[in-house]
Amino acid sequence: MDFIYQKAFNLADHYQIPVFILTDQYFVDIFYNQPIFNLKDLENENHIIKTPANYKRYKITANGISPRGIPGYGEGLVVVDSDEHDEQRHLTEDLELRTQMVDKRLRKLKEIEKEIIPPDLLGGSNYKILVIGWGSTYGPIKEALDNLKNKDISFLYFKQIHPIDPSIKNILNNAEKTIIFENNAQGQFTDLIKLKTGFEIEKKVLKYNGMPFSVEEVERNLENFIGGLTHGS
Amino acid sequence: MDPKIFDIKNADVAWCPGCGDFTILKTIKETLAELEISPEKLVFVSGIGQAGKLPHYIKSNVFNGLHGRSLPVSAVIKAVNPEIIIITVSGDGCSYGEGGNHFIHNIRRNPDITNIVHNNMVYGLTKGQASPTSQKDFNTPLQIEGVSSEPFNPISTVIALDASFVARAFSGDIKQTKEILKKAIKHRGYALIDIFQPCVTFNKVNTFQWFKNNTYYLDESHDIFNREEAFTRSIETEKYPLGIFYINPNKKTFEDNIIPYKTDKTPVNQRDFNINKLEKLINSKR
Repeated sequence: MDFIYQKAFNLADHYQIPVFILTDQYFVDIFYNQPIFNLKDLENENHIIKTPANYKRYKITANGISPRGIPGYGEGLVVVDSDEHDEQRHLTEDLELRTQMVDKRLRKLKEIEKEIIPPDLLGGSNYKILVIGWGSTYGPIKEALDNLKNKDISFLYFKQIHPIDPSIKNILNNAEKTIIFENNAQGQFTDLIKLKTGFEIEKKVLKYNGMPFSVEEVERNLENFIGGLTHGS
Repeated sequence: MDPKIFDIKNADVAWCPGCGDFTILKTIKETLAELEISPEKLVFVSGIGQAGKLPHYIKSNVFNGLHGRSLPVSAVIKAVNPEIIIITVSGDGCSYGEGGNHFIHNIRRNPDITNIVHNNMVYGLTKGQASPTSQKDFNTPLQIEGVSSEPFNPISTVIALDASFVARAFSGDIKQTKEILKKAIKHRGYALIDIFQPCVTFNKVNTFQWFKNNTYYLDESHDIFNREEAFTRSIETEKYPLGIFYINPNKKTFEDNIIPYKTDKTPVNQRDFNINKLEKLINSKR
């Protein structure tokens, strides 16, 4: 079983970054039956080190991660700052060092990209039509496709929406037609996919009256999009 | 202990010559040395401003974060490790302006931290705008016709909230300030020390001499355990009283009150993740 929240905590701990989990009213208001979590799979990482006397909080490293110490654990002093700093912690206006520190932080992004959760492909791999969704649109889209029973349609569902792997372009290119459902006014994820992969999704279905998509609504939109081909064509 | 233990070699100090911050820094170093508190047992937490830079000039653990946000960070560091001594230091703008909401609610929680506020009645970092403690009619490049708002009175505000330790000091008097600071650090619970301090560049009204002329020390006749008396003294403005206004020795601290320490005093950052406890918690919701 995937524990998205747990992965978020481990990522935040390992890379020393904020991790955002987006939610919405649909997610927090729904009730459903949930099997007991299998805690055996729980992987609780610990990234805090015992500091040596010459500890450097912002040590420049190859992967960009500076080992994290906390006050009172080890011999070193731990100094964190909100302004630009050198490895030791001192405030700096050294432009060369500034560039090195920005590069160090961006190297972490390269590492984080190795841990991207790939999107789930639901349905066959020989699809003609690809439906794209993320977040709380999962339920209505999945149920609509189950009802339509159309082997030409598959569903690409994103659990992680940033960063995304540019190689998803191949999955998108395999479709003849693409359609995305988003619960917002501007289709931000559509734009993000275009920005990161260059791929333009053909049809956006946006709903922003505060309510989630209904199954019937998804079915109706899909039927219109594919031109009346429905129910096990 | 030698106060030099807290010195940072080649520190590039950004304060103006003559700034009251220098004497406060010296006072803090001497106080800690006399209390035999070594750098690794300490965390300095600050916000933004000239005072907020102080932790960069003292050898210690440091969290220099966002404007007005030093108190919530301080309370959390204390909560995860109550064995650490926390000194929160920032200016009147950061502490009473940007951080005003945190300032009030932190007193209700009463974490065991020492809160030093450098009060020079002006925004020194951003070049002389009025701060929450600027006096009425004070002229600045922004308030060109003088400040129209009443100044914030931190002392009476915190006594009204029954803060557990309340004092005011003057940066020009190292000896007395040190005595107040020692008591504040040793006090269990939240301690506010508002320190009057001249800003030699942007406040030409509330100068070193002005503070000397307009302050006096509370004497032994003042009962520091009497809240009403403390409040009465706190609203005096003809001459501003210095010294300890009020102590409430009977308040429990934030760390005493939170659940993780009810049955176990081990700091939470030294405890291991307990999967059985988590399983039990999940099962209790079935």
